[in-house]
Amino acid sequence: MVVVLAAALIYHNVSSALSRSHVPASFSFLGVRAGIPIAETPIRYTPNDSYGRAFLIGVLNTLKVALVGVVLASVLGVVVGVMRLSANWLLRQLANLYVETIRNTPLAVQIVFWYTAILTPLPPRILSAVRWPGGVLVSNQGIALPWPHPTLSFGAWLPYLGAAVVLAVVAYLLRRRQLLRADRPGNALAPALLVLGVVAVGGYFLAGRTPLPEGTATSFRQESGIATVYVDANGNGTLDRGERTLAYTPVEGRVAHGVLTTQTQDLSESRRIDYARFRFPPLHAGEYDDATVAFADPAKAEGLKIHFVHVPYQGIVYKDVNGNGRFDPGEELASTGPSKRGYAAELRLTVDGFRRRLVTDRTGQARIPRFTTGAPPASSGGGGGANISPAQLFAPPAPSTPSAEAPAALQATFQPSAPRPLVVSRPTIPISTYFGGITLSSNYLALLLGLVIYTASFIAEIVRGGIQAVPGGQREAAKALGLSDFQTFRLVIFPQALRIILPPMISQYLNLTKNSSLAPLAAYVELFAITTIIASQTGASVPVTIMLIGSYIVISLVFALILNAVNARLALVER
Amino acid sequence: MRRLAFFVAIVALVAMSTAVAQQSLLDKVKARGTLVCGVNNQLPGFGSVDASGKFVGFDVDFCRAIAAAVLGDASKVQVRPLSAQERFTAVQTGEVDVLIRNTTWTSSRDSTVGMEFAPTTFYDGQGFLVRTDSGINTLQDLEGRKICVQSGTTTEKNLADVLGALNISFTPVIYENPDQASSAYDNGACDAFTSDKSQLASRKTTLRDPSAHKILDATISKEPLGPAVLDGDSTWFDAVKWIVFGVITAEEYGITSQNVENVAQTSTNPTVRRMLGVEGDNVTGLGLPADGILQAIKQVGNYAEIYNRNLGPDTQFNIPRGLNKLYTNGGILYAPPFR
Repeated sequence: MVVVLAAALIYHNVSSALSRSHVPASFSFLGVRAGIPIAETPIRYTPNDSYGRAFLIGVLNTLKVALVGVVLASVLGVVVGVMRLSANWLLRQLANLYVETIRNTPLAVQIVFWYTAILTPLPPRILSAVRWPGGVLVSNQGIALPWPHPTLSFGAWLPYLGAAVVLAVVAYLLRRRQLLRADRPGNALAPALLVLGVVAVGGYFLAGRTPLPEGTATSFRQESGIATVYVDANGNGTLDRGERTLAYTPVEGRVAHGVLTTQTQDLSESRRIDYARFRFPPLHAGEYDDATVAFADPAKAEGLKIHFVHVPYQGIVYKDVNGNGRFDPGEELASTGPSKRGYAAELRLTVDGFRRRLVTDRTGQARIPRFTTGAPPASSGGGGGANISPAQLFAPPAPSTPSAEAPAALQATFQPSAPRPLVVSRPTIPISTYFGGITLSSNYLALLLGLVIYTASFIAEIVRGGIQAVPGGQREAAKALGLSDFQTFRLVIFPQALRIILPPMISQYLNLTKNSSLAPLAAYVELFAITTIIASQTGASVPVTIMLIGSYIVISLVFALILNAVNARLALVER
Repeated sequence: MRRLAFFVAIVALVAMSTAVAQQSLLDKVKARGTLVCGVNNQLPGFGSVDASGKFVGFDVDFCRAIAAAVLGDASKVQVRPLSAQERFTAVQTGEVDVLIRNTTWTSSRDSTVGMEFAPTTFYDGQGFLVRTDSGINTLQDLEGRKICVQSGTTTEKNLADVLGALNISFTPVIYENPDQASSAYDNGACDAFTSDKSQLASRKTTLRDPSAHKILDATISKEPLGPAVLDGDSTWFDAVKWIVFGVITAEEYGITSQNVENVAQTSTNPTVRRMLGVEGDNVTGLGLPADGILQAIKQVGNYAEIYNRNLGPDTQFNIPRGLNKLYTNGGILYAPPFR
């Protein structure tokens, strides 16, 4: 009775206060165009989508960090928890140190630490990205990995995959029955996995390449370096609104002759204040027939020479002071004081026969560096940038009109090809962000690291407690049966400990999920960040907050439901 | 019974507050002898505390000009630092007499928020801060770049709308607070940092190597900043409005803090004479002392002096006047005549 009265009172209060203060209280804003730019979107999203979809992106981004975080935190937590009980003094002390420092520092501090002190300043900047084996790129924008994507041939592979699963199950059941009949120990899983693998791989090649749809064409926008693979339904040769684009399609881009322009001064390492360094968007060996670097304005570069660190795209402009014909340290056109400026020479990299194998992204676009035809560099063409008035921008026929004199079209061709069911997209850096592959941004990584390392310290303690709670007699009995230390742990101690560990673990998982709302500290846009932005743009803070709370409750309840089911299954069945 | 008493008290309060509102803020300020002015204290160039602990800046100088005109003494200002969230409440509750805190004049603030905006003192707009060595010179060069955005009411939306209309694709990184955004930009997390240009100019000075960065010429939004007072007090509003116009007009007629007294005595231009209170009742009609505008110019300066002192070429900000030039010099600064 009291509760109902209180609730009614609160409702009345809030609704009357809202109607007084002009705060929108309906959910009608959800269908309105959001206009919020979001970098990381697990599903297709543009700023032209609605607030509802932006909110959904927030939910998905929360799940992305929470699910991965739960798995990693469990693994790290179990390892550290076991280490804390290790007979090895060093391991034990390391684990103690880890738990005591991490557990006693606020999570917000840790996330800021990872983002501001480690992941942003320490790794090389994007244009100096480190190349790890396997095509992995590492920079302070995060890690980009090659990633397989299902293509339009994927459908042809599906029956084989289905058959593989069915056959694997049959194989497993047959083998298990055989083992049971023979009454001997053995692994029924291995043959099943073998069957699965053979049928799936065989099917992959049998499925072959589905030919590209009739009318597949490519449109290329030179000023952005973006090629779009699309199906030219009306046959007019241009990409029109509503025409289907082909996602995850391999495409080979070729540029017969193109020019890249840069200035000396190294964007990637300008903190070193070597103003004579230069850098072009990375080209790779084998991507071009011929490339030369020259000063854009030879008259201004009288007496200057170029020393290459990496031919042709990275080097130093210098003046041969001692006349020995080569670059010596100290000869670069640099000043070392922060206030003094070096000479900024404009350089042009001319590339012949550029080619790059790419895979279109989910919008059907592939991106190459922004080549020009070799006309005078854009920056010297007068008007640096006039004021663009909003009226000018949104004038109805306004197509993009970049430079004054229309440059001659680049001779670029893009040849899409029919893919196998999966295509591996490799990351590249066409301008100064990753394209292709899958990117774990430094924002995501900072949040993930913070959450995982923090939560794992609690999980480690739970694991340690759980293991210590298993009666000592169990260990002794296992020893007496002749089990090794590892066997004892795996077969006797851990399964019993798991029953004790799991219930408190569930709370840790839920904590991790809710703590992901600290994401704005790492500029990662998830549920909480997106609701803040939506609330500040629409003013609908009450409905947005209700949605926020509702989403966290639903996510937590679903997590709890699943984990409780697992727990019930593992619990000791008492007779 | 008690409820009735409460009701009576409320009615009395409401009646009192309306009674108070009857009296113009102009008279209250005069009676009080000081002007309470809400400013920003974290935006060097517009409002910040200098080494000696004094409030200085472009906005603060307009506070001083109003005090000089109303009270005859530019130092009779009580500066109240306000956050972005506090500012309108402070005006609504009468905590400050005038708000000069890089506040954009928008329709919703003029209507639902209950402000009245005096003439714009600084025409601002959203712009981009980039490294000089990044090769970015125009909006088109932002193609394929990473852009740090300070999350605000409109910043990220402007960015998406304008670059979207130009068909430029970019990767945004949205930060909650400006310090975080600018330090991430400084650390090379982004190729560009977008915010209001005046903010960028001020932020630029706090970067590790300010000379390695520049602000693009292009402006992608309209942000007219000016003083705001409470709606419904036209006497006070008119006074503030014409003090600002006076400062602008002074620049137009070449009247500076140095020569203003001389001009007042010697000028034959009727407009100037009316503005400086030598003839006519144009100034006294606003409820100001006859030499009100004269004192504002003498003690604080004309628009150009205020601008150059705080944002001009000799300061670390060196913000080009751009739109803030007089209409006679290609800008849009235009004051109606004193007639």
